[in-house]
Amino acid sequence: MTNLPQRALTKTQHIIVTGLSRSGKSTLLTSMMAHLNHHAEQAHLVNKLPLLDKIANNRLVDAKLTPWKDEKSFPYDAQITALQQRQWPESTKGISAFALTLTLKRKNALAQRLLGNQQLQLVIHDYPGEWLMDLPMIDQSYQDWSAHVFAQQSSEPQHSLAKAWLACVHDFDFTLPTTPVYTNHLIESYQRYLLQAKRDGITRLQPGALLLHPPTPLATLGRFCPLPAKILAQPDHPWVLFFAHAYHDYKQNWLLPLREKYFKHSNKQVILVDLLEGLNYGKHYLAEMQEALTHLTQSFVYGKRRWYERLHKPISIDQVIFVATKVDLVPIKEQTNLRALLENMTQSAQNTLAQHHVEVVHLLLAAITTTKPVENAEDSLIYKHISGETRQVSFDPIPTRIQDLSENGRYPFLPSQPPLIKTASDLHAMHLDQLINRLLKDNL
Amino acid sequence: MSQPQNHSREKTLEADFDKLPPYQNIPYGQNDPLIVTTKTQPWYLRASTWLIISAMSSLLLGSLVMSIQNYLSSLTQLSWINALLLASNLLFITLLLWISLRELNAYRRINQLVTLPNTWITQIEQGNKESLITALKQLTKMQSHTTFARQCYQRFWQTLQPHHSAHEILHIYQNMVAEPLKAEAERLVQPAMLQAAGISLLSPNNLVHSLILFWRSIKLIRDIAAVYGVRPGLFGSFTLLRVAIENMIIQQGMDIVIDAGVNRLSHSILSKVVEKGSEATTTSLLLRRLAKAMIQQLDILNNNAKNAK
Repeated sequence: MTNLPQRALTKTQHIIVTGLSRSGKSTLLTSMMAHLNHHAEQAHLVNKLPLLDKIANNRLVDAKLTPWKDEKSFPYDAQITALQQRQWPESTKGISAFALTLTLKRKNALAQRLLGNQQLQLVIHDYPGEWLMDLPMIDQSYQDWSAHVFAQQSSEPQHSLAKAWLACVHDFDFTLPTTPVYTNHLIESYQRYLLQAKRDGITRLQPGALLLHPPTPLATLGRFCPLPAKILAQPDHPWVLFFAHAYHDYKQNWLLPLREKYFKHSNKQVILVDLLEGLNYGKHYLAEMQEALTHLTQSFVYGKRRWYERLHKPISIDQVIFVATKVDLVPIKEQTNLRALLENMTQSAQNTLAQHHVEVVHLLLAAITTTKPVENAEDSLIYKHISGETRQVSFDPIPTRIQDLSENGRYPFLPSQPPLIKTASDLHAMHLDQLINRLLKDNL
Repeated sequence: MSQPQNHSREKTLEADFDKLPPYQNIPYGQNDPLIVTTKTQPWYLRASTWLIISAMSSLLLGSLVMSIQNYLSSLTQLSWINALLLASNLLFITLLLWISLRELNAYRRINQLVTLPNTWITQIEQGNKESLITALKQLTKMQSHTTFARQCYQRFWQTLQPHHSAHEILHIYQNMVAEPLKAEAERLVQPAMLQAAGISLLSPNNLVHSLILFWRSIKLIRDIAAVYGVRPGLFGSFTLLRVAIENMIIQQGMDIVIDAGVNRLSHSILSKVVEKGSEATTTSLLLRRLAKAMIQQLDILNNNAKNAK
């Protein structure tokens, strides 16, 4: 795509693929690329995306990854190599972006003769979920944020995990000067809490910079922690001023440019949700995840533009796709319930989005299938454990609402091994065609 | 991912299971005995037409020989002639039985196809996946007797995955089987229409015209049936020919109307051209109608779905 006329005929669609940490963004992008490649080359033999109506009748000529501007390219080859060695792709450590360029035959034969193939670029940004949860901080002051964090830590499941941090901040002498020794002591205590909470499935953890540093030269940003109410009540307190300044720097130099650069060019947002992680930890964790999702939808600009508004009104998200990932880890029979649970989890977010006339869609997805149903046992599945054993698991019915899950009920996460593959074409997915259909909607 | 520390009650039950690893994703239909894997039509079936001719010939021959025998018996007693007659009659009866059984089987298949239960659609609409799978397997069995249809069905079954819902399976069926078959069948219609219209223009009288239309209708019906993987056989074709006969009646009616109209105008050359043109157009349009009716009849799930609505 080097010449100007072809570039002019290429349609570009920016897609925000958001998701909390470990929700499967990188795996999705790897699988999507592998499946589209397969669809272009071998769909006439085995069609792995049979419900992909948007590219029917062998219209897809080619699918390839191209770098997007000066962004770091998505490490597709490395991800496939890892999968070939039966290792899951590395979680995202930094921002990368790529354009998935689809070359398609035109529907109209005359247009095909005159203009040649049509090109559609899906520009997808992959970035760590840790930073995503920080976006709502843009609209909050340090004092508000700090009070909010302590409010969260007063209830379960965060309270049990934050005991050491709460004890530290309670016993801390705030008359000490804000020298690096003392500030680091407090920040590191808070950081230990964040890391532990992340390991234990908490999703709403701020600032994400303490979990994953921003790239150099901004790596020093985001070094602050919340302060207790008695200190916050004194606006001129040196500790308040010190952390408020760090907070302001973080917003101005990291969060605002991040939002401007990556999240303001799209009218479609995909929000990946790992419900199984919530089910693994139990009811409180699901409730916490629900709150995180609501929180997340407050970070973006939503609204449907009318045709005459497209000239002057900036682009905004008018379609949100909530996707429950890794659904192959529950029996097929339970997937209906899982979808209902996803709808229940996003109810509050849906109410917010409905006010902006945003179209909301719920989908289930397994970017890479690792399990197999059991014949004559609809409530069971077989999977290969990371230890190499093949195991069979049977499930109780999955609740359709958070409140229906008993207080101590949980569905342990299945640590499955990636499938044995020789090439990327060997990957199998569930419902990926439906997601791609949605992404291509209004573009073809 | 670490596990929760509190005393929780697990809602799953896990056990070691020494089975095939899950990476071998076996879709429905692979190695499925229900899928007919007949290869291209064997020589003995292709020769069936010749066998029918042979049977008819042997009947004629039998009659001829009987006549000769009667004549010869009046002259003298010849035992070798009796033996020859017996052998030819036995051969004739065997051939007749074989052909009858084959025709009966084909007729049964066509009847099954035409009278498929409407309860399918009710079950499909209720999202009954098992019923749909059973129905589709039955349909595969009935419509897999020719290469194109068999390939469509094989690709369809290889594509299906256990997670597909009834609605999705039906959608995939439409995309991978129903629509390609329909498109392939519709490709046959245009040449048939042109051919019939051309011959109609040149036909000297109404009888020839009607015979041509009848012949083209039968050929089109059999060609479309072949696209849909159905081999109707001679008697099976009669069931399908009901639509063709309807066409003939309409055609005859149209001829009368056209004749009456043209006679009223004049007997000029222009009116003859108009008459012939009308006949050609009507013939081709009726053939198209016939083809559409036939496709609708064989596109069973679509047909039933429309009826259900």
